[in-house]
Amino acid sequence: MNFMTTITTTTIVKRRKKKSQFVMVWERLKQNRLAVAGLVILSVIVLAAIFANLLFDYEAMAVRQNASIRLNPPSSEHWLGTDEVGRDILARIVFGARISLPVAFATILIAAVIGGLLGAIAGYGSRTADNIIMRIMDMFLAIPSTLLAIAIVATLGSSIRNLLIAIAVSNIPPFARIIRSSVITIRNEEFIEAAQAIGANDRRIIFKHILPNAMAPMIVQATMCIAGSVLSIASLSFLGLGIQPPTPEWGSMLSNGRQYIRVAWWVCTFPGIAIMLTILSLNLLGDGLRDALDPKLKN
Amino acid sequence: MENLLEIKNLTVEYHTQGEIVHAVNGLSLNLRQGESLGLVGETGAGKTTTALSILQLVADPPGKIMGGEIFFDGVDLLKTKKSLLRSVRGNKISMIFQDPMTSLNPVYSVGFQIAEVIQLHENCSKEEARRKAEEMLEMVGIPKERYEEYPHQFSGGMKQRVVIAMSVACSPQIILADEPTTALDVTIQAQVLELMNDLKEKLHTSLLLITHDLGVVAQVCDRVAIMYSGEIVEQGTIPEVFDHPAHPYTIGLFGSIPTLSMESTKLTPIEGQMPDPTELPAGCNFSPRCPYARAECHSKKPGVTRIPGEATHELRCFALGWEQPDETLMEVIKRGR
Amino acid sequence: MYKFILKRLFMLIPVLLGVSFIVFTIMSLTPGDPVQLYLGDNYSQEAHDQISEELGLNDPFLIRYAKYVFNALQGDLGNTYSTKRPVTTEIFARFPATVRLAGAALFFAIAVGMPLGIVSAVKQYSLTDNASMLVALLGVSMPNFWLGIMLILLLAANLGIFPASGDAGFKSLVLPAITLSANSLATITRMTRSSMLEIIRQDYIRTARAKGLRESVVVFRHALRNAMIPIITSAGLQFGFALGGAVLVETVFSWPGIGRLLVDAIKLKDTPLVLGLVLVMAVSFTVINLIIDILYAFFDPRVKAQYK
Repeated sequence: MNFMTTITTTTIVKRRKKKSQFVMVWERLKQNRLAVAGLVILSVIVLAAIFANLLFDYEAMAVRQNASIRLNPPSSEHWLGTDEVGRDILARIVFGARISLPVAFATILIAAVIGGLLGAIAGYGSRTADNIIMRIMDMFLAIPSTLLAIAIVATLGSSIRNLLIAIAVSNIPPFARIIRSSVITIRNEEFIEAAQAIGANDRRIIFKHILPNAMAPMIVQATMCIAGSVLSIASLSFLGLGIQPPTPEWGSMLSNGRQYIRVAWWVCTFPGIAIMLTILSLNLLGDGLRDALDPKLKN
Repeated sequence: MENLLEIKNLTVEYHTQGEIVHAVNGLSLNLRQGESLGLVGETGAGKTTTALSILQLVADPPGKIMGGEIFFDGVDLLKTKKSLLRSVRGNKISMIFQDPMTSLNPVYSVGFQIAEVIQLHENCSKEEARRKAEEMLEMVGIPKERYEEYPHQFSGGMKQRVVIAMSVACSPQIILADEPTTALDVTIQAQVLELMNDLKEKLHTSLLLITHDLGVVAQVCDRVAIMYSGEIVEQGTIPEVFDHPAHPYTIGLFGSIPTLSMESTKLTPIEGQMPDPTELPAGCNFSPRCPYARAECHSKKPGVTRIPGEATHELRCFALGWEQPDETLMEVIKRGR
Repeated sequence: MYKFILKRLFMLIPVLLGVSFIVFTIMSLTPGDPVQLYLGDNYSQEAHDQISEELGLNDPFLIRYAKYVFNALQGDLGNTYSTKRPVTTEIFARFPATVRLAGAALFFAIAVGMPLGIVSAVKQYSLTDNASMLVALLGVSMPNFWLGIMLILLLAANLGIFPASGDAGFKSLVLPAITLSANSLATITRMTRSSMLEIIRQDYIRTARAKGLRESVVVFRHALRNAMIPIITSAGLQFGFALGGAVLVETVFSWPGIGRLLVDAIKLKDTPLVLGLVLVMAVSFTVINLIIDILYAFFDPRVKAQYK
């Protein structure tokens, strides 16, 4: 008899059909009822924003003041009531989505591109570049992002362009961090070494190999950040630092309607629900995407 | 000798994402006072689930004990009150887990983790528990000065010593050791096994040793049970099973182990893989891999039979009852090892 | 340990310098003539030149920044344009109100969020779990200024239980604190749940159960302490959000804190006051994060070992 010998262990191998990454993520996402709900809500909001002109007359319902119907409660004519100067609240909410969603999307696009580039340089470049970039990002992170955006708009003055800059800048650091960490993880993988071995230059490696692989965390972060951006736009406009009246915007609708809540509850209630639904749907989608992209993280 | 622990018809399933994993399928097993029983099988055979079921530590969800009885001291542990079960856990039956690196809580000192179980079951003061925990540390060869140290300050082998000290702290009647040496270096393995053997002798404890290492079983155990796909396929005393393995799976197991007396230079591994536990075969679970399988094996589940002429040697196989026995198999069994 | 704290305090210096530099740079980008704002209606060319000299506005940018930092180190953040009083005086007159509000909000968020998260994790997929996760999802998605308005609508305007605005004792603190805590509460609940769910599956939790410990001891003694690090990390981040959120909530409830002071300062284009306020908030956030880092060592001996 021979001691200390072990049985060669066999493992159960389950064979599954290979599917493309995209199809697999989509299939996993479809399984997640909350994520699907988020996608549905978001689609409704986006479609309403796109076809807003077909639904309502912008001039007549969302901008023109009409004292005879001011602060009318919800009715068959004005489903969500009218505001303090007689504008239709539903129409203003729908046109508000035309501001919030594109601006939020644009801010995150800018932040993702700049943050992504900085992160890629930090992760892929020299130690010095990494240190300088990341220390600067740390300093930005030391300032709460809403506060940073407020400070930027406060100095630049309130306009859509400045709002965009403010929110984009305050969103750069998290993107830089995420991309840097995925780049560092991926950089050490063997296929990058292989690419270097066949003589690919750094730019090619970054754009062809590293960035596509860093996309997953980036997409999740972007979804969540768009939600945050929608909130920031509304917050700044609420403070009077963002979109200026009479342009319909959810935050400024809340700000204007605030003084009438004792007599007209609907003026503030519905724009708030619009903000909440938009953020909720993006959060649900973001959670779902995170789980679908990385099933290991799911509990 | 009386049975201290009797498992009857234990069935455990894991329910995950629309699939049912049949981990343990009608398993019956006895453990006598003071004896050491080796439970041997491949990864995924259901050994760990069996041990966890005894103390009802199977994670639920996804695990569910679907049926069976586990008698300890005349009480069915599966049906008893939670409070009674708690007074058994760590006190009368204790468990040593496979991976010492993860089985100690990283945020408490090792001493505290030993003292905790003592204070819980022995109704003693904090000081008393500490004194005894220090004794236990010394017993497993760790200086008591290290009482206040944390798990991350210990090596793997030392951590397993702590786990062992914790499991014997209340002088249990049964220790369930789930691959206690698998995660350790070979030299440390020998030390830990020796330690367990010594403690077992000293405390007259029964031991259920789970392993996939037949060498360890021969070194430590009195009896051995071979497990395959959630069932015991063969069991008996060490001489019975090791000298004359009778189940084709057990024969295959020994065939895939190199021995000193072996003449041929080639190992013969068992062909194929363990069946998918979500879709077990209709007949004998081993039939798809069995070189001797006949039609009957693929359609019916074999029962347990005692091998004629041997006192405790049992197996779950049709082959011994065939009117026209398989000559090759009979030859292999008779020749033994 | 003390050495670690000293080291971390030392490392605060570059961070604070960086933060102040960023804020100072942003502020100096303000278009328009600060002197004009400073003088208001008393504007004249001589006065302009004199004040420019006094405020050091003719110096190059870096010199101005260096002077600002030098003065700041002596506790002088300049004078406000609007009241001409020291910025520090203005800020610290309002600071306690914000500390009270943010403290109450964070306390409420932790005191409710952690137990809720623990129950949700221990009874995963139960009614309690599903209900609290739904509420938490809504809570994360809810703009706090809207929640504030809704609470005023329901509990102040209609039912009159709490005052709608101002700072007059405990009762007036309730609504703003709940409003400010909503997002943090939801985040802490979710974080506690996911952290606990992860820990509860660890081998050492099974070991604790195998010892025969009561489930409550397993959860509170063995699991919770391991789950604390992500929980307190998120609580620390929430403090930052609470500071940002305080700006909005204080506006909604007319709470006399530094958040509202900031909004007023921005509207009056009172640059030194805005700069001072953002700096004070960023410093508080940084200090809170330092405290969180030190707390890690309290919960996890492995972290403590690294800190030596």
